[in-house]
Amino acid sequence: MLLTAVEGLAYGGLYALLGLGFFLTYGVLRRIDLAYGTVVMTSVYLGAMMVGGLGLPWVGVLALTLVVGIPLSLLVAYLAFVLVRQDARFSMAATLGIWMVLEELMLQSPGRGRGQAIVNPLQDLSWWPWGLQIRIDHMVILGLALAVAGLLTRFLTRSRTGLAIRVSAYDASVAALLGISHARMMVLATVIASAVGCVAGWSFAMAQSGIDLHFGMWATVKGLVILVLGGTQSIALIVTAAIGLGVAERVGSELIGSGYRDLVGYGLILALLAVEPFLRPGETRFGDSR
Amino acid sequence: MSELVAIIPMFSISLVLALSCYLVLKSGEISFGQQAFFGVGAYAGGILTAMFDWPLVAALAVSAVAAAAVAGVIGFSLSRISGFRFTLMTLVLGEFAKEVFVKIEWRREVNGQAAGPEGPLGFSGIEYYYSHGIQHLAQGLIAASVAAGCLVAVWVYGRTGPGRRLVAVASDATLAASVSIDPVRTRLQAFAMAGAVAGIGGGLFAHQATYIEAANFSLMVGVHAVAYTLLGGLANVLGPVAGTAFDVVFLEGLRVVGSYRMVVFGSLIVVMLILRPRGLLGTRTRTVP
Amino acid sequence: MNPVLEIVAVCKKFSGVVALDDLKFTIEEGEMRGLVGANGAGKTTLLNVIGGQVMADSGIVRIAGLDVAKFSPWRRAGLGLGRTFQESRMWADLTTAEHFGIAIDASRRIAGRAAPNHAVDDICSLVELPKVMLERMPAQMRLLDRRRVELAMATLNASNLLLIDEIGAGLDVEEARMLYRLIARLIDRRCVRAAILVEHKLELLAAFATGISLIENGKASQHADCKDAARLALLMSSMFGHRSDAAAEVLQQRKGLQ
Repeated sequence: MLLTAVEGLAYGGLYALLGLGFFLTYGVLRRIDLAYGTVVMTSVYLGAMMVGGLGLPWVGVLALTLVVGIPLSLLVAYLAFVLVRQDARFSMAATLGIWMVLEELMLQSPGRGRGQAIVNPLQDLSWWPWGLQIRIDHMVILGLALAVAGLLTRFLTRSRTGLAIRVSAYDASVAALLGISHARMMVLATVIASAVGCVAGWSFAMAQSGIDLHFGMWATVKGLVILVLGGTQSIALIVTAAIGLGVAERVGSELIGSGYRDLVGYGLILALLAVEPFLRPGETRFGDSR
Repeated sequence: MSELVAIIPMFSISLVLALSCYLVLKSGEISFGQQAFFGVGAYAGGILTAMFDWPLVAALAVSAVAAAAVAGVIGFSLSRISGFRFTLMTLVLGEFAKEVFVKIEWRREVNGQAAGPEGPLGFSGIEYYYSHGIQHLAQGLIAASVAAGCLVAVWVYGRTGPGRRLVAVASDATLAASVSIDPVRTRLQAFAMAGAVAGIGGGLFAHQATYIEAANFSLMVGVHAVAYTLLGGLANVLGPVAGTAFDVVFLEGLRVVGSYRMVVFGSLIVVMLILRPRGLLGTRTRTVP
Repeated sequence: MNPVLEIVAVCKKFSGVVALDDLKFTIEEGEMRGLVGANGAGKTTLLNVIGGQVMADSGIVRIAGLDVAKFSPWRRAGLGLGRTFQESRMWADLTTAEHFGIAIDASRRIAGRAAPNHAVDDICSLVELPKVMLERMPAQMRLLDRRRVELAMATLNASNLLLIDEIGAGLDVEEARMLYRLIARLIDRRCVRAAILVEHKLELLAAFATGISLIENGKASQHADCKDAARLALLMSSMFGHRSDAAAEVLQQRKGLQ
């Protein structure tokens, strides 16, 4: 049981990274990108395919993932959020169109949509405190998540650029008055969000020793859920919610049976989302400002 | 001609699901989870005819009621949230439903043979059409008339009180509440109706396909249905008809683009949203004098 | 007879900041009460707490004797509360006739047969809306006509009380005066029992309202009957601070306007 909880921590770390990516796109840029996970999946997938084909070392996957992922994210952002601009809901629908295209392209790629193997350099390395087997790669994911969270917090609250991004996202005209280029800040934030996502996707795929097409939408849903649970106010809350969900899911499916893992996961999230509107008393939900 | 007949059932079923999405879109929300209600209807209808020898019409009616009931329960919460949370919840609902369908296992002896859903192996032998000697043309006729019925029902809904109130709530809920319209109840009605419509579509689908499995109710199905409506436009019920016809008849029926159909379709959605966000047919023109 | 509206000890905080503080307030039949006060004093919050758009943290909001403090906005509307908003609000995709149709249908649903049997013709004449406006969309109408439609819709529901938030905003004085005249007429003809008006232009209130309340720091600190010139001057001077000459000017205008 304890072991499952520790494994849950690794999932929590992954969720935290995904949640942070969404925190940047939604919390800072006010964008809902339903192709986010798929862009990450596509990048890792292509990276794995190329590295497998060319026989490059394992770091190559990460490098290629970033090389593919960042331009791809910028393209998605341009298509869905710059060209489509009447309505946030339309932008969201456009990202789903992109999701469809990317996933289908992967099916038609030389990989034929089959799972791609990824070399895990930390395979079989474990640490045995108090008789528990803890996989080092899981701890690496958790460590990465915490490090990225810390860096992002520092960046957004302390650095001039981070502040500029927040101002720019809040109000483009105010930003212009302060001499901040709105477009450039949006690009920068998209790049950071994409890089965080790529790191998340790569580290997770590595721990699983492979990646398949399902990862895309799965990652998007998990990231969005973390965003809803953790809110858009603070990075610390996002990380807490992510780790909480990761552990709860693992422990929950351990209790009920591993065949029910996704059932439990989605059921838990559905229940949380369903209960949520009843936990905010006093406010009339409808029509505040739509 | 025979190709056209072959297309009718698929077109009708897709249209019914698109109508369900149209109802939700009319409430101002995007649901990517209507395939869940479609699945509920498919399993309910299939179980009734294949395991209990019910007549098709009664089975379809139960499909509608079952899906509406599920939509009503979910809608209790769903009708209170909006925007991105709404979409996220429907997305999760769809994925959750898929996991549930994998677990449905219920076998029963019918005429000396075991029938019923077999969990991950899917649900085969929904052979109502075959066992009742209903030929292709008749199948098309059944599907088309059910779709036409749904179309009329949705059209009537839009022209009467509940549909009008729904548009008002979607446009400005605070204003609607200030003239004593209950926004939550209005939306709940719409979601239940959307569920019922999707359920009927699912029931049709199960009998048309004779074999169903969880993968039939994936997110891709729901997204397509939403996309049909967005492509066609929300102006009136002809929007989903136009959008569905475009994909099913041109892209799939004529096989113009071969295996890249989804790529073309997905790109088309993006291009449409950029160029004509109000759909092929557009909505009522709003001109400023 | 119960007062149309009775507010007792209502408090409201927005994330710690006090907006309404132990507020007491009563509106009697036939009243047309103006609310004045500095920006952020709590005028619109008070309207929202009455209308249900914002729920009070504590206290009692009685409409015609019934405590509605926990009721949702649509239930309060069903009890005869009409509301117009600071910014002009109409349903963007519907024509004026459709607006009226929906509002009439909704008020009949909730009040059953007790609802007044309005016809669209009655409504149009009530607010002097030209018939050609019926087939227009909101974007095709000028602000004054939109305001007339909003007023008519609010009145359809409001047998008891109209809540009017700066209906003259964005209009010139002449147009605003026209709307105030309409509201006064609605009360005269007993279409509604009373109205509360938030308004920045004091001269309009002085001309048409029956009384004025000053909202300060989340409390209704002073009331003045519009016939009581001395009280009115006192209220205005405390609002304007030392510039009591401004108050005198407003009082002068009042005579001119009526």
